[in-house]
Amino acid sequence: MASSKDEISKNILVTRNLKKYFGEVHAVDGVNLSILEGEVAFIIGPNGAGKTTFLNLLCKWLEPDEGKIFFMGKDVTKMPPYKLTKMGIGRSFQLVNLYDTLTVFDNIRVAVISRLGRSGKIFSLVDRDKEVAKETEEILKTFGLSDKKDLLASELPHGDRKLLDVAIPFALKPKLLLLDEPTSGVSTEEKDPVMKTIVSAVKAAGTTALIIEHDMSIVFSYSDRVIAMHEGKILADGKPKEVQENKLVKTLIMGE
Amino acid sequence: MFPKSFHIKPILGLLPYIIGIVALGLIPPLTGSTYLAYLVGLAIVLAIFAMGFNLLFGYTGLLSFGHAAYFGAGCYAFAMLMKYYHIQSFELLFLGSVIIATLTAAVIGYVCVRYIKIYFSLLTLAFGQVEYALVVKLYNITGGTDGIRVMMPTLLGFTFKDKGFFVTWPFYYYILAIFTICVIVLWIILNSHFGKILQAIRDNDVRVNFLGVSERRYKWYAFILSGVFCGVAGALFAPLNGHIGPEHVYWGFSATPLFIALIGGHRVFLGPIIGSFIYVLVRHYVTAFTIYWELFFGAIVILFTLLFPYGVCGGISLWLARRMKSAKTSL
Repeated sequence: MASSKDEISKNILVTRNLKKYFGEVHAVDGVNLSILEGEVAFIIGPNGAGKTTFLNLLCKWLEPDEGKIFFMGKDVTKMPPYKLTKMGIGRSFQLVNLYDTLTVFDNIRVAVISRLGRSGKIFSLVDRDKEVAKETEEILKTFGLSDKKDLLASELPHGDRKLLDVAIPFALKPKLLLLDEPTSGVSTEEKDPVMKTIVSAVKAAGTTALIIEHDMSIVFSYSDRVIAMHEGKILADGKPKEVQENKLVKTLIMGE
Repeated sequence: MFPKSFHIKPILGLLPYIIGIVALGLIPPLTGSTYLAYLVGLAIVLAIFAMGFNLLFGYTGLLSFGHAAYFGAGCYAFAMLMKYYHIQSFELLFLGSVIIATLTAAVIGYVCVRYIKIYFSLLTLAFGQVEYALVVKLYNITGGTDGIRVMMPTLLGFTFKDKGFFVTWPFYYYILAIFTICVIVLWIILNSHFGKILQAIRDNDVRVNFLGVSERRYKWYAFILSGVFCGVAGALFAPLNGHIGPEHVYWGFSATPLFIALIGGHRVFLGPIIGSFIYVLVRHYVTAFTIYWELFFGAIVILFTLLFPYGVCGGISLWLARRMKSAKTSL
């Protein structure tokens, strides 16, 4: 099994025969996937293909029924989400999931506090922490949210909420970023700029990213690699061009 | 909507606190009334209780129905340490009671934070009632439904003979000093890095796990801290009241800090403090003309919930924010 070990150490993320069943539904059905460090890979597939479930398994929101997950060469299958996050996996959510009564600034700030390992500082005033404030400002700038930082998260328009939802895990400076439909619900003309902001931030930071996306034009213009899922299994995996040409993908996913 | 900011502006914001504490400090010399000193002392003690409760409720988003258990643990520890171990020093008794109340909260909290929403609330209620049952059933040591009389302790080594003098002067200032410390400590905690994390938990407890923060562990920390303040309140209450009974452990009493927090404003730092004074005053003056004060109080709570969902302080804060049309309020 030397080759398997090699693969686990070579890739930032490796899954082995990962399975999750909901009763009769085989949401994720034996997925073997390896992601290299620095890749920006997109997961495509029809509704119910198991994309979100797969992401939820990777960040351990859901417990897999079977199979193993290796992150940075380590078996993390049994690790609780917060530990895995500390190791370097960050995620966003399909349905925006913010800290709604906190300001935009504070939404990012709690992530920075956590990354700097200052969550437990109980007798130090957070407003006096210049380092946290500075890093928070940087993230806000990267995502173009600086002028809205004093608004409550609940007061933001939808597109900005989606950006903030991605900015929060991004502020953790993760090694692997899992994004679940970062442009869902965003208007057509806003989609491209939102994705552009996200991908350029990810690439500039050298973060590995696994992104679920429905919009094919966006997928093919921003990805290094495309993974097509169907009924819990990987249908095709490769360069965008190759996947686009794949017959099964054409019939089952593109509906051609 | 919620007030934009619950922060206190450093200079302007401190002023009401200083004025408030000084005003409270002037009550004994200006009035010399033992009864008033007792009432204000009670309001302060309940304010500390409600502040501890609100650390969980208003800031961490956890509604406990069993907080009388930690207040009660403080009371009973104080009374029993005094009765059975013959400790006279208030400082030692206070320390012992707070430690016991904190340990009680730590043990119960460890279990409760594993559950969410209504299950959490019901579990805190159940544990509280277990403690109540123990207090009532173990009457050989707890005095059962009769409770325990609490003698006057010594303060900093000084012994007192006259209960009226004790409550009006030395102990009143003792309570006021501890209250001031509690306010400062709690304010720092809520404005610390840790405090921000608690507010994130309140808004979205699932997501904090994906910040690399253990939701359960931080909820537990908040629970323990909350227990410390309740223990402090209980330990001050025992000598102030001179008597403690199972009603201070009963689940009905657990609703008191909730009322107080809701009346005053559970999202504003000052809320539980103002709420406590309103509670004590209303209770005092209403009991004077009717025994159905709870009915009256129920009506007030309903009125507040409908008209001022963020309590007196939340309402004022919102009103000020609108008047100033600025993003930050100064409550």
